[in-house]
Amino acid sequence: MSESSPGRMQRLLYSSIGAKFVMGVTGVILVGFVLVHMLGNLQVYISSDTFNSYAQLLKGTLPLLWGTRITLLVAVALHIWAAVRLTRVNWAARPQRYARPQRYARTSYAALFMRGSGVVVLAFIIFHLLHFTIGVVQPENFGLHEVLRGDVWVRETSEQVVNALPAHHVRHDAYSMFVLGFQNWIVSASYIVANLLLARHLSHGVASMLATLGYSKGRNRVTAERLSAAIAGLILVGNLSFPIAVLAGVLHL
Amino acid sequence: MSTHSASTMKLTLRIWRQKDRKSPGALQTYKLDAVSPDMSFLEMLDVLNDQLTRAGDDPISFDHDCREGICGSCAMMINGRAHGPRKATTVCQLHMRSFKDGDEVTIEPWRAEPFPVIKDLSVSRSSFDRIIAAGGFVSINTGSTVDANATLIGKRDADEAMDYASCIGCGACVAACPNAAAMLFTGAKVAHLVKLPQGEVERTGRVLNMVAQMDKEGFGSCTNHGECSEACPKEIPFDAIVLLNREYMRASVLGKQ
Ligand code: HEM
Ligand code: FES
Repeated sequence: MSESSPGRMQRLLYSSIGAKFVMGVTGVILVGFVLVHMLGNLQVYISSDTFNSYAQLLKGTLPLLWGTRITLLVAVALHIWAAVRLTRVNWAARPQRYARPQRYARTSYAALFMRGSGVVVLAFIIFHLLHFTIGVVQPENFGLHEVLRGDVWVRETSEQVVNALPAHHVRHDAYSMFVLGFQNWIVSASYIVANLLLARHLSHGVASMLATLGYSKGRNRVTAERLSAAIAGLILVGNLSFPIAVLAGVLHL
Repeated sequence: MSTHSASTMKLTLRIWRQKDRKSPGALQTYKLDAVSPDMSFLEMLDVLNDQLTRAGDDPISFDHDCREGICGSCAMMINGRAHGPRKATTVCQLHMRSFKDGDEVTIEPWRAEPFPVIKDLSVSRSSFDRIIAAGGFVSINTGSTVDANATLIGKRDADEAMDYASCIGCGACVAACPNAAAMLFTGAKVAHLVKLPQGEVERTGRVLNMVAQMDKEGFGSCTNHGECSEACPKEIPFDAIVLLNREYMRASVLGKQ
């Protein structure tokens, strides 16, 4: 080809396989985050102090916090960009559908429903950020604090007391926010529905990502599918346990 | 084989009729009596066409050539399945014993933008030819035949190359794919040459050019449903797609043409 052929990066991004690589790589980042996020949240079962110290650690390490936020934001944006692009290509590739719908031999509902589950998960991410990161869903639960008394952290509801103390004697009470949040049935129900769909998304997504990134040849294909089911199941069980534990009274203030 | 059921079948056929590329088509219903279970599917259509011709009607256009499962011409969707209900079987090798008396059988052409309908069940698969022309070849000087053992190829690579090379280009992978992607086809063509030393020289440019052509033709993109390899009459494994992804990744990093 001549010099006018597009550059390497451009060719990669505008090819169908290149867009799939984008989906796959951003997928690895997102699944990795969701897994670590779930494991981190499991500390809620140890004690409110453990959980709040963990939240303090995350919020206090600014390069980590912003590095993660920016990486995730870019990953989500690219993931959606690639999904939209490939969906357009796929719809254009079959303008006339079969009069008698195809009878599938292998694929799953999860695989056929990726766009639907993806859109719900996106809506959930926005809701989740508004809820626990920005604090507009239940503002009354967001401004809760613990203060340092001697060497123990205790819940403090008086704003005057909190404001009078030096900053390093005050921390965000993420535990109470968590418990009060899930005591609301509607919030809990939305978490449950969203995580069921997230698990569906990942049960195909992880296997698909491993195929796209070149892993799933030969017997690895079965390994990839098992891994996909295991990761989706793990995330589902972990994440569903939180609202259920709060509603069942296992976790309380 | 001596236990042929003497009984014949009555079938209701719903077949896509379309005059030419431009005209809209529709399913049309035909009744066919006395279908022998020992007929091939194409012979059954021959019988119907014979009746249509005698009645002064336009016979149904469908592609066929070898009728022994090696040319890849016969191509139709039968009851929502590419090449019909039997695994690893082209339409020409499908027999009517796979159906029951009283069955309704819906027959449609492959549906994909790059496979325009020419007439009835015949579609143009020239897009596949253009993908091959973009890189599915090796440029070597021919001359007198080289000794068979001049270039040694490992048994496993030779077997794999043979498996991928068995693609007959029928288009069932595209027809069966929910996205109308041609990744299994293109993957088989790329993978078969990747496994052989003869394919090494043009390795990088081949995958880049063939994928570029595949995209240009308007095929969809793979979302790893795996319907293609299930529908493939030659059972080309899904591995072809994984290899295509690997090759594309490698070529994108190397970047040379
Ligand atoms: C039921 C399961 C989940 C629970 C209980 C949960 C809980 C939390 C909590 C309590 C925080 C705030 C931590 C703090 O800063 O104090 C948080 C942050 C976050 N969650 Fe979740 N989460 C869940 C599922 C998810 C899922 C499925 C996603 C995305 C796919 C997600 C994305 C995020 C993000 C991006 C943040 C960090 C926002 C930021 O500070 O930049 N979460 N989560
Ligand atoms: S007619 Fe040649 S494969 Fe069926």
